[in-house]
Amino acid sequence: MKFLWISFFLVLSCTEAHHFDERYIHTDSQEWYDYLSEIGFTDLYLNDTVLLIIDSILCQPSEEELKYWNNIYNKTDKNVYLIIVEKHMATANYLLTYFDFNFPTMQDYDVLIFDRNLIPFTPLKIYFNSNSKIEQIHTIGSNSWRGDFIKSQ
Amino acid sequence: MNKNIIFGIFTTLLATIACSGSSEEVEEFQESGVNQNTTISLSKIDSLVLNPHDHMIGRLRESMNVSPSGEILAFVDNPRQQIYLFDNKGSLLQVIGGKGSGPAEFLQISGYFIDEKNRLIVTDESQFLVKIFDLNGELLNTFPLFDNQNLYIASRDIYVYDNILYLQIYEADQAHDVKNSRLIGRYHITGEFMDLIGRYDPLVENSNHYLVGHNFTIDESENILISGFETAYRVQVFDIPERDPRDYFGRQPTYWNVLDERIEPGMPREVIMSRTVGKSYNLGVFYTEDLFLHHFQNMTESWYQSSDYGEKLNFLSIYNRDNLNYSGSIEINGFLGSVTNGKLYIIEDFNPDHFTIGIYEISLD
Repeated sequence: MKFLWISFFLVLSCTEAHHFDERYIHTDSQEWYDYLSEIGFTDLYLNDTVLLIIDSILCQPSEEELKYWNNIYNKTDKNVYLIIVEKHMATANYLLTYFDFNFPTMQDYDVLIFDRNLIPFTPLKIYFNSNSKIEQIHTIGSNSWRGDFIKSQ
Repeated sequence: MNKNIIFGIFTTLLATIACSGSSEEVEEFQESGVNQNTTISLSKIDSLVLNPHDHMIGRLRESMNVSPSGEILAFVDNPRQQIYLFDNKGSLLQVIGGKGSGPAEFLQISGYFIDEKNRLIVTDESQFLVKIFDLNGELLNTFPLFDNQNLYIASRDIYVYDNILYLQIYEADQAHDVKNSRLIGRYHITGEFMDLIGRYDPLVENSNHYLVGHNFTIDESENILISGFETAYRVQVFDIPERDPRDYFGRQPTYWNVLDERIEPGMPREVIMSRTVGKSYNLGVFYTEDLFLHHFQNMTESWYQSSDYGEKLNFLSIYNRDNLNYSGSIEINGFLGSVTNGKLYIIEDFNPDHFTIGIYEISLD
């Protein structure tokens, strides 16, 4: 039986990743620091930090989860940072304005994150533990898993 | 004649009678012949850059609609659920809608179309509503879809003319055999359901993709509906007054790469990406006075990584209308958003700071 999806790419942006290749989990923190420095996060420390990495096509569950994290950032002392992988500045600015996000944000204009092979796709959230090691990677927009993610911190 | 033979003839006759309702309407696919030594020329006649003035444009959907006169161009802003109307010089005229369930708002815009009476007709796939505006943004009418019909919206293409709304539907009764579903639902612009016309491309049964959407347009002068299934290069033409298929043709274009592995919703994104990179999707069927045009895209890894529409590869297949022969396919430098009055409107740059549309004419030599 066929399903009634009429927008392949919106559906795609919210699909679950059931498994992440180990290489993404075991990426050395220095590779992340180099990348983050290159896109403008020069004073960022990854210990006990959540990185949210998105592009500019967001499905509804992803939008909702980003609002959730923005709320966490505003109401707790959690380190939450946003990276927008997007070529056009106007589009990135628009997203921040429209959603009224205020967590620290940088734009990856040149899609460097994929050149460096740091993640397989967007939107993703990554939790770095107190030793700045990646502890969890998961798709943004998977609400059922959100609670576990924050609990693990 | 023994009893077995009589029974066989009888059951065959019954089966023929039982099936005749649909089989008569399904034309055999005809592979198009090839026009040899044809040169396809795409000539740029104009270009415009959208000027939103003080309005902040974020990300416009990969689609557009041009009014029948060619004077108004419409685009959708997905996050805001707004429709922007520009004049044919690129200057912003009006912003209509907004995200919400209020009278003039939308939860999820699916189709949008400016008709010959300069009305903007919008379908909201979340609310199953049709909202009709004048071009100043005043809401003229709202009506619900599918009140008493067992139907769903199945694609984002809509078309309106002569006070009739055409939209691709899916008959819930045919959920287990989608190829038997009718293709298009017709509604009077006052909201009254009229009828169903056309049939799904039979290829939908063997497609490797969960999508069942078809792109379509209407040639008003010929009273025909031209349709193409999202993962096929074939074209169906239906006679609107007769509601029956007239032609079913096509030829695999040079650049067309068949989706050869199954795609299902819920698959890991990496798997979907790896199976679809390089593969072709039908994005629209169009026509000029002499030609049928089939726009398709090939997915790229850089598109999946950057979400920049400009990273996808766009192609156009061309068929002669008089003999349905294939004249070739060419790469085009952007998304073919509309063909109106013989002009091709190609979105060449999606950057909101200089969103650019090239206007072309096409000819064969």
